[in-house]
Amino acid sequence: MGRKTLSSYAELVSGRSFIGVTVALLLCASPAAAQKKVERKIPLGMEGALRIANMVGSVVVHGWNKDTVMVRGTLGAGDNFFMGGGYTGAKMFVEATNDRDPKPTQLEVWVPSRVRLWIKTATANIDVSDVAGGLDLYVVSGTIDVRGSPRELNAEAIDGDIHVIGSPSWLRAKTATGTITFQGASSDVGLSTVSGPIKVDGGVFERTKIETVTGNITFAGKLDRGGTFDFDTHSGNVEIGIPPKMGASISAVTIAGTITNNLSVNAPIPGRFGRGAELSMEPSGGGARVSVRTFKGPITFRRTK
Amino acid sequence: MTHDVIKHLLDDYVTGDLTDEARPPVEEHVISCALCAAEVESLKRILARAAELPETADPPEDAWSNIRSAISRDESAVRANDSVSRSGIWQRRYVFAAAAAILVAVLSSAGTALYMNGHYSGARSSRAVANTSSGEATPAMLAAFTIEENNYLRTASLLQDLLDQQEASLAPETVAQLKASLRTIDEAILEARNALARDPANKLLVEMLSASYRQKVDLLRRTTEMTRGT
Repeated sequence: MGRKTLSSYAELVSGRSFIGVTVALLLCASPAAAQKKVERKIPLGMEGALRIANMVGSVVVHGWNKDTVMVRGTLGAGDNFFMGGGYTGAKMFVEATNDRDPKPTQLEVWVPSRVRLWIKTATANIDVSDVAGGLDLYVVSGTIDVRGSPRELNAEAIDGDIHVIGSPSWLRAKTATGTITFQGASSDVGLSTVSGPIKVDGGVFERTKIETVTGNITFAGKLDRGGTFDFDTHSGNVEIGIPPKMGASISAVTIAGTITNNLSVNAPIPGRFGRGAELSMEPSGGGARVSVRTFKGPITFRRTK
Repeated sequence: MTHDVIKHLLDDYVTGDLTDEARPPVEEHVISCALCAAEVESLKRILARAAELPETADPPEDAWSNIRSAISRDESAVRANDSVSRSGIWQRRYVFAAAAAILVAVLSSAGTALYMNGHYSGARSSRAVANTSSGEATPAMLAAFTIEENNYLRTASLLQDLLDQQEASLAPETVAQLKASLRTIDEAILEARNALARDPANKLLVEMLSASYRQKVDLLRRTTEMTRGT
């Protein structure tokens, strides 16, 4: 991220060597005007790479089954839009007339569905649907919404919310004060906030790691038998819902909080020095491994319907 | 075209991928802008070095056997460490005291150390509950944590300085949110540290403290990276 260098661009357009990559950048600068409309198209391979930067406003992306990138948008007064690239990699960005006070730009982009997509904004919201390639999405305080099943999804915000509906094979999402919601399924999930709540539910999950500092954690998904599930928080509430008849090896410990077990008759025992609580359960037939650790956040296990 | 636009095009300029239309203004700017000229030189050097690299590189033939030996060495070290920690209460106390001293040097005073040792020995004998996930930290783990903590503190301080310089490029609301988040993490760190001072052999506390430090550094790093170029 940050300043554009040869190597970072190479990383964008090529997985192997950037020496052989030829990217013909077609520059199209438009003159300043109030609320200018923009509509462009360029060819891009179905598995090509695309970088989009738009600081303020919104970026809405749809995957489609064409080897073409099409963009429609409305630029802020006086701002300029640039787009260009070759068949393997392309980029588009907005240059604000006044960097200190950028005007909102709304971009709606159609991309080849298996594209590798990188989007960076400051306060602009990002909305991506039906893209099956890899997604790298960065906002400072905007919201990130993703629908679909990208191969990989990395979403990072500082104080924005992140909402994912779908089944990314690999998902990493981080925000500080924002909320993370994930409705779907995944074989590899890592979610992290500072004070924002995290809510996960849906289908089958395998390797799952969720951590907050003070944010609440709610998980209600199906546990793959070989899966590992780690939930860590300092003072957030943790509520784990496990489907009926699903066994899991559970290890829960809280330094100064409480544990409520509604899964079985096993009662938690006092922790070290009589403070906090611990709960350990081993199902007879084996199952997923669930670990919950908090400093003082209360832990609740319950059955889901 | 402005400097801000041209800096995004320098890589394509160096690789000769700019269109005929775009090349002249970039060329003209590079002649007059020392910053861009330096960037172009740097990119050319990288390109030249990259050109010398082979297309593919096979791992050395003994790579896997080296990895396997390293894993075996680690396993032996863990077993040896474990046997040291089980080889008797006096020896164990001695090793623990050494590790606690290292920790104390960073975390608190010598007086706390006496409190910790006394509190710990009494509590351990009376402890009858299952000790699974909240197992005890080994001296090696405590020593490693002390080093790790120092690294986190150093990195966090560097990133904080960098962020302070970039603060103007963030919206005031975002800065306020960020500061609140850092305060939240610092409070969690402080609480966990105090608990660790009372119960220094608590492995869970060491791991939780490490996680809080990691979160702080990660938040600072992410913000710094996002702020660059916004």
